[in-house]
Amino acid sequence: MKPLSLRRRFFTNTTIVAVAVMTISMLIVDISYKKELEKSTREKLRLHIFTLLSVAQTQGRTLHVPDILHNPRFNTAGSGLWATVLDAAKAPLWRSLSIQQTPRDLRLGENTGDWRFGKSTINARQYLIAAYNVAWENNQRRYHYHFVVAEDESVLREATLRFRWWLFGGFFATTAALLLCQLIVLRLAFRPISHLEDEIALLEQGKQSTLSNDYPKELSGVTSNLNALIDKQYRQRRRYRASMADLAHSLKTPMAIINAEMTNYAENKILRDATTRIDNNIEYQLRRAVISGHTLLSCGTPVREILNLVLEALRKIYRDNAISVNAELDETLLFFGDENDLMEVLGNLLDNAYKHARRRINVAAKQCAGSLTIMIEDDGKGLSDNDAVKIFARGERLDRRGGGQGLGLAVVFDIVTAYRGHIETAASSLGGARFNITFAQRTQPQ
Amino acid sequence: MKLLLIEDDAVLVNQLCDKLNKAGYQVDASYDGEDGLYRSREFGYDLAIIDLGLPKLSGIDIIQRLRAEKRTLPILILTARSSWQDKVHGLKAGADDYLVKPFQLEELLARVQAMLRRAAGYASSLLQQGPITLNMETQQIWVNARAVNLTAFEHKLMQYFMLHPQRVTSKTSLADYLYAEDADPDSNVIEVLVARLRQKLDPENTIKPIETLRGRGYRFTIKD
Repeated sequence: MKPLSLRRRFFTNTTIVAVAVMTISMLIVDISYKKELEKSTREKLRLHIFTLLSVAQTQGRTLHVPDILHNPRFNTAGSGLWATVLDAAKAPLWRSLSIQQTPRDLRLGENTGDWRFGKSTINARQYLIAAYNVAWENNQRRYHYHFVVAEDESVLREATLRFRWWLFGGFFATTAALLLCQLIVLRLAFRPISHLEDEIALLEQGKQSTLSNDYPKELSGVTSNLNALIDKQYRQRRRYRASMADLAHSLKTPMAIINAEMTNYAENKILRDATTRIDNNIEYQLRRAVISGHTLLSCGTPVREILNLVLEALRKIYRDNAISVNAELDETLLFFGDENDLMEVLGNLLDNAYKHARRRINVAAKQCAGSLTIMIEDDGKGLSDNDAVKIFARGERLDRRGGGQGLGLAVVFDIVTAYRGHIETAASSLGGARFNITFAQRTQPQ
Repeated sequence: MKLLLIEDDAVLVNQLCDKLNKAGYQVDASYDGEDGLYRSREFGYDLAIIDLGLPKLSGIDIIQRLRAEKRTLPILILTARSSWQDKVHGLKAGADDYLVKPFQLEELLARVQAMLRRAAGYASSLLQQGPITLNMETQQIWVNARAVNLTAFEHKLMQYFMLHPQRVTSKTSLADYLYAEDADPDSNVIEVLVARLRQKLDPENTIKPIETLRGRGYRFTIKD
């Protein structure tokens, strides 16, 4: 599985943490609110009992409570708030107008001064009930009464629901705002990384040769080292090519002198063959030595650009031959490898095609399934099967026409092999030879 | 035909000068880039053969400067560098052809001849001027489909005229071209040669291909 991008990884993890923290906080707030609500409801019930006590009067043996109380909810039927007073034998003495009859089985305190709080279902409604056991002294006698006040729990539930709605809404909005801010902050913080990503893409497409040096200190170590590596590779390759050019000069100029002198010994076949072999070996080894086979960072080389350069050179060399070249390839097609290697492959194959073609050469290239394929065909006399097998053996020459093309094809074979690609020959639809090259390489960046 | 050879290896220069002289070209040699550039600017050459790795000034620089100055003389690169990058670079700089060392002399001579022919405006090795046809490869010449036999010097002179139609050339220049260092400008050998050529090409004196311009030289021209 492809690992998540840094940005996504960071965002996912912080989102999980933020949502978890917010949810836990919300639960704590909710529980505390519920507890506080119950507490305040008890206090309210206690206050109702005290109010009842303040309006209750003893008349002889009986206790008198006015029917109409100050709180209108006690006077309205079905208001959800009711009160009742029971005697010591738990027989109802008084009840508020808000209930039809005093409920039975109320949980009452045993001793004087006892407070009882509880929940009870009466007529399918859930009530919070407070009961107070009070003793009243009258004429040296003690009378015991139970004052009971109850409130419908649904009132409480509605308050809780309302609170929760606000709580969830508030927390949801806060979490969303937090994540949005985080996204913006993330984008700002990751801007240098996005910039680096863009620059590497440009490097791969060959549109830029080094990375810029305005990166923050966390990245500047990587970018400056990468730049140094690119520069080093570039210099090293240039130096290497320069020393190869010097070596070529120092070996081939004397060979040219020997060749010119050999015209005086035209009859000496042994000497002539030996010098030809030396020539071929020097040429082949020097050309092989500069094959790169890769590039740092898989820098992309535009195939069309290189093809145009090679064709321009070939048109000049073969200006007397009326050969038309038809090239079918996408302008944006990239070869992920060394520019010189691609130039060598196209140069040698097209030079070969120009030597053999009568009138037409076709070139086509396309990228598919992570590989680059290049096809070059001509309308010459074509290759026999035997030629096709021998053609990529080192130094094998199909004929002496134009000279040295066997060597060129051997170099092409070595380059393609260095890129883990393959080359095959086939009969062209134009009647001549056809070369198909496939470079296995990564897909083009988007 | 005057050629300039810019090459730093003295032995190779001597060899090439010798072979090119034998092939009928007058060759000046230059051993470094600066001298080569100076000579190609100052003396009118028909073609330059330039090595790439030269002391003082590289071959590519010489080519670029000459082309920047709108000088159109044909340039052949003769170098040890055989990579396509060097070929593409050299030809793009303005060279007309590219030959890699070591080379066969015949190949060099064929390329030089083809470049000179192209510079004169001929697309193939068959040169045609009015009724006169000259094949540079087989060294044959025809006038109105009648084969004409020429001596080596006559052929060389005829080839010069065919490659430089309409150009006024002094006797001294022709002597330089035909006889290289051994030329004797006072002798009337050129006059004799031209007279023989006129006789062979145009015995009835109808075409009159070679004009004499008194005090200036000769001009090869075919009137319609």
